[in-house]
Amino acid sequence: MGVTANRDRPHESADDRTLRIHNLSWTPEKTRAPILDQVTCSFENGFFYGIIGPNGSGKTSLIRHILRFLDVQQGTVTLDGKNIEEYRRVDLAREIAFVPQNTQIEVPFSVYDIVMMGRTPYQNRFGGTSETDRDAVQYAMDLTDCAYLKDQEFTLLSGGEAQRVIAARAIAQDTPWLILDEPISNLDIRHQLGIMDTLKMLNKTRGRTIISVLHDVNLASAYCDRLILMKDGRIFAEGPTGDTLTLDNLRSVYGMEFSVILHPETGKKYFVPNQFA
Amino acid sequence: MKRERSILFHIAWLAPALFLCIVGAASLGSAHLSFFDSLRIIGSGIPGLHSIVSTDGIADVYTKIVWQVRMPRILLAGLVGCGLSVVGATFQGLFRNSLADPHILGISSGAAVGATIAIISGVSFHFLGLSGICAAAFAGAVVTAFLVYRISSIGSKLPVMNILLTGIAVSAMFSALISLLMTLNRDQIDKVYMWTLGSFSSASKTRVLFLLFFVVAATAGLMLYARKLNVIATGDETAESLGIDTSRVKKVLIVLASLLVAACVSVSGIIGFVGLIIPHCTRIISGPKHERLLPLSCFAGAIFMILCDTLARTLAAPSEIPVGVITSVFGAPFFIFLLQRSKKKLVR
Repeated sequence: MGVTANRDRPHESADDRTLRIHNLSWTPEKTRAPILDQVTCSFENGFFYGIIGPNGSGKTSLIRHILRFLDVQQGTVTLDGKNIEEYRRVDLAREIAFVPQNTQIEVPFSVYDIVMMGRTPYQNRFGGTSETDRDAVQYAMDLTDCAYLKDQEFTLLSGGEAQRVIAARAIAQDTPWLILDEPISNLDIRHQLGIMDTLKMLNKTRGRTIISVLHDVNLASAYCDRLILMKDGRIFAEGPTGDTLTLDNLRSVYGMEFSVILHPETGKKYFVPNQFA
Repeated sequence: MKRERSILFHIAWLAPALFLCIVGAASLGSAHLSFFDSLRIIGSGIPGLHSIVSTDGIADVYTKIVWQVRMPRILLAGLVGCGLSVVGATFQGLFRNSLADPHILGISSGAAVGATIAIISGVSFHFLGLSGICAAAFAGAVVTAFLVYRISSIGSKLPVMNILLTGIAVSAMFSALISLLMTLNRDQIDKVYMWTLGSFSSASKTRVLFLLFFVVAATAGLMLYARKLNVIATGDETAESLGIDTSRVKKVLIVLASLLVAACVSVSGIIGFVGLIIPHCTRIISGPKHERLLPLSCFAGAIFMILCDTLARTLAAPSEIPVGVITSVFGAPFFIFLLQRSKKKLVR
């Protein structure tokens, strides 16, 4: 696919593109405790990041600030050295694509129309859809295994199909950064791995930086280069997956004991809660 | 889902249908005219066709009746139907609510307050060739739109639920105010009440031109945002992540739509149901995309309103039935029929 040639960045030659969060704090109105408490972290171009942590630890709030759904109260978020508040929305949409947790849409658009909406940042109000737009949409639908749903009404899809279509929309958006909020929560195991493999492929062969909130520690361990562990609105640990995903860290973040078992065939580490075993 | 037909295909049958409605409506009335004569009179009045279409053998008085009495009313009805439908379609998408209609923001109640004050104070001034009542209604509508907008915005954001609830509250308050004004001025109750029911009986060339300006300008403006409206209809945050400045687009759309409602209501009173059902009916042929829905709603709304007004002035001639009664009496069963037939498409 030559569609995205101009945006291809080899994984190795990641230039100095970084998304930096500095001292970000957020306390919503009518709440006393901060949801985000002096969060400082950075995402470097070219890696596959996972954000993990228990419910209410601030994962979603963090990415909502990066996407500018929330105004920054305190601290800064910069992309390539420029404060994200200084970006025009359309420019930001050419940098970062987003797959939300909630994929509900009430208007009966077709799947194709929904995926085509991913091309919005590149379309002007008079022009129709270009060849590039159509190619990008087809490519995204092929990658997420939803090309066969093309003409169906989005509202009639199952939860998992809907999630794949929304992932396709973000891929069609063709951005260097891809942020996902629990992108696989509604998927069956085969499609979970399918989406994760697709993300990994986009990361490895097309140099896309992936930042994904994940709930499954083992998926995070298998796919992410680096992890950010959050707890109570703070960064508990960050760094390469092997260093951050330790039994001590898991115990502290989730408040429960885990054990490591090795997969009998692949020899990979699996984290299993002791209560469960 | 079957492949959607080009929008031009639909315009190619809706435009002639609209024209036939206009001709048919122009032939009906106390002075009866055949459909064909009406066609000749209207044809001869269209620039360019004058030399081809002759009105030989038709008394001049009929030409005058058609062009000076019936056409302003028919065109006004068509424009109001068009305007209300476009606004209804816009609001339904913008507020992500199938129950939204042009009157939902209380703008129409504001217009009614303006009109009521003008009626009971017995004003007789004219403004830009419009009657005092019409001008007061327009002013009331615009002031109300501004008020609702200011009350419901929080910082730069305009939460959908806020604006809907504010609109409903303002609407209720103004309705009560009108009732109060009516009870204090019992001699004018009739006039006020009839105004609120809606009518095209005071149509004039000035009103047609006044409304034409708003319908063309606002619809063109809304069409520029049709694609963005599609994305906003799938969610505010989704739209933002796709590069749309949601707050700004919402504001522009609400201002344009509000002005259009204000103009429609000020020349015709509060005609219900059209702005609610026409977009739903139109979606059956247009699908959900606003760049198709808005223009096709224009045609459907115009046709529907012209049919309703024709019934309103002929069914009980020489007296008139309020057109708002007709839109609901005939529109509601028709709507229910469509609802039953294509449940899947209308109810999500």
